[in-house]
Amino acid sequence: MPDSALLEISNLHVTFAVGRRRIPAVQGVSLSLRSGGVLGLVGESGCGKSVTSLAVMALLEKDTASVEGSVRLEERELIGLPYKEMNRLRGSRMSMVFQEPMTCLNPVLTIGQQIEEVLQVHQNLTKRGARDLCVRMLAKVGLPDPERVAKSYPHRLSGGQRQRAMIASALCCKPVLLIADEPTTALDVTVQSQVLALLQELQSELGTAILFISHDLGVIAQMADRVAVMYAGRVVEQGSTAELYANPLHPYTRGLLASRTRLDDLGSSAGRRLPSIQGNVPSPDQLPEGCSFGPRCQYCDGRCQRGMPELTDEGEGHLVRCIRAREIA
Amino acid sequence: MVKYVLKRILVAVPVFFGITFCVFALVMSMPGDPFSGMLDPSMTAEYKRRLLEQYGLNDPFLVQYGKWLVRVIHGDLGYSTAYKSRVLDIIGARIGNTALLGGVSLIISTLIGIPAGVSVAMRRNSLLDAGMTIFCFFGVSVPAFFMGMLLILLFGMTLKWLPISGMVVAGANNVGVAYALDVARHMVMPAIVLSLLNVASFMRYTRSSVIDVLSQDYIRTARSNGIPRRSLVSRHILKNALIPIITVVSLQIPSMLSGALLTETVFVWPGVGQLNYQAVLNRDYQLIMGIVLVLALVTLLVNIIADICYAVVDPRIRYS
Ligand SMILES: Nc1ncnc2c1ncn2[C@@H]1O[C@H](COP(=O)(O)OP(=O)(O)O)[C@@H](O)[C@H]1O
Ligand SMILES: [Mg+2]
Repeated sequence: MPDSALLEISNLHVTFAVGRRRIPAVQGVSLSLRSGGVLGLVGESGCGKSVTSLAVMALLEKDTASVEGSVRLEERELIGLPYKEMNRLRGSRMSMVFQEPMTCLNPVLTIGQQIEEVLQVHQNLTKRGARDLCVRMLAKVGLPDPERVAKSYPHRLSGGQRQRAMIASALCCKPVLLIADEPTTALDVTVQSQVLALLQELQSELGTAILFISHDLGVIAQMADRVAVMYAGRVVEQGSTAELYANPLHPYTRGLLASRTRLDDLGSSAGRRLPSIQGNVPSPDQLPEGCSFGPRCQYCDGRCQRGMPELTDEGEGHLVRCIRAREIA
Repeated sequence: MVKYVLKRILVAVPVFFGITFCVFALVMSMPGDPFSGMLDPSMTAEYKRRLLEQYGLNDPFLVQYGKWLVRVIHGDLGYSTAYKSRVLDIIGARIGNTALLGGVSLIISTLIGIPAGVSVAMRRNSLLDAGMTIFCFFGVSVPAFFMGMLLILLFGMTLKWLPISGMVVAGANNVGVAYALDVARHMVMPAIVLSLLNVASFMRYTRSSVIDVLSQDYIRTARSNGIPRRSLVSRHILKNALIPIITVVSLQIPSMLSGALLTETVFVWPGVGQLNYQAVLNRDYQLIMGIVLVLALVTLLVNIIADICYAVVDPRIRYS
């Protein structure tokens, strides 16, 4: 199946019910990720990136979140899959690394106990076999003295070490898909680049496809071959990394890129004024009329407030959700 | 771990002195002196002074405390005027009965309260959850004596299924299994009354503790790794939820011993609670102080055990 995607998200909607309020956190997101590829998902905090990824993993609370649309992994529909069958896929075919290494590991179980359990749940392994594999996996993610790490409780490890252990636990069953939700955001800058390098290395070695989520375009540029930009629960621009960075079409993407450039060039070009984005991401239950980005957009005019623009193809799979994209380019 | 336990015990030592000091201060502040009630009222003031001197009752406070402490450590808690025997012997004869009733109730309430708390937490906002919430309200708000009377009326008087008072059938002189069964039959009702409140409170605390753990990131991690529900509950959730539950259970033990007062009195269970009630009625100060001291020491011991339990469950404490 050369053409069919490994992960195909189409028209995903996630709505939270909080008391009487209905919060449409994700509205019609469609993404596709080829086998072995890395798709970057970028956007400011609160844009619905995490909710999208949790919906894929079926980790949202059933009684507060309603998920609609379709998520297909290896051509198999995941939405509505019974709990037990979903559990058979989670940890073995698809797995996830989260943002907070300090809180994402169980404090009362050793690293070894946590990884070995994943191995034993999904593979027919003896205790001994699981132990050996676990230690080998810990060595693979670059932890020194893996035997000792396996016997350690999480609180004995540093943030970077814990994130490596998290990666080991996520990849120990060699899943075809890894979702990494801001995996380095909580780490120190130096540790951050080490962990990114590790992910790249493992990705090319194991051929795992990654849905890589970050609010940092720099990190995305380093990791991803395709990028989707999310704003207020919708994809506003999507394309290959090279194309999107060279030729950003949506004012939001341009703003993100600009604010990044400004940070990088700080000092050398301090006098130059670059367009950046004012204001904040609107809350999903208080979206403005028309284009959600309108109120923050310097190009916004009357036409933009008439309705949400469609996501349109501007050529070679470069999609953008802006009616003025071509005028302002 | 060994170091941790030793440290806990070491910390308990000053607490022990604090408790005994307070108890002694209470003994000393009792009105009158031990002889006024015991001896001939026509005793001369001179003779009484000599007696007080002889028994060291005119010594400075701290000296008296020291002597008293030495006596307590040797098991001499004083003499009960009402029972005409040593306080230690009276308490010793009763404490086993209280421990039996309290222990059985504690086991029952843990075995029911904790699993029930877990299962309602896993089905939060369901009909079961609502029903259990109402039960808990009922459980903590119905007074023990009222509940006891109700049971006596129903199972004792109306249905005549269970004996209504005491620990054994008077004069039956059963031995072995027959004795155990006799005690068990007598224990059913007081154990139910004593457990009811605990089941309710254990359940409430377990429920909120589990709900708290359920929202933790590491539970999401476990779910993202496809950990099956059984292991999720028994390994990943329960072990973490247990930490605050240990506190609640350990707080409940001493209050069970003293809280058994009403239950034991209603069912005439020959335990420390009932003894306490009698002692207060008789103004048997030495006995009251003895009971207070024993309860305080039990509390201290339970705290040490709870601290050890924390360390067993939580590695962060064990290795700190
Ligand atoms: N459980 C929830 N209940 C209600 N609203 C939620 C819940 N989880 C997320 N949201 C809302 O959904 C929006 C998107 O959140 P999220 O996906 O976490 O953003 P991010 O892009 O930073 O990962 C936010 O406005 C957030 O407040
Ligand atoms: Mg997020």
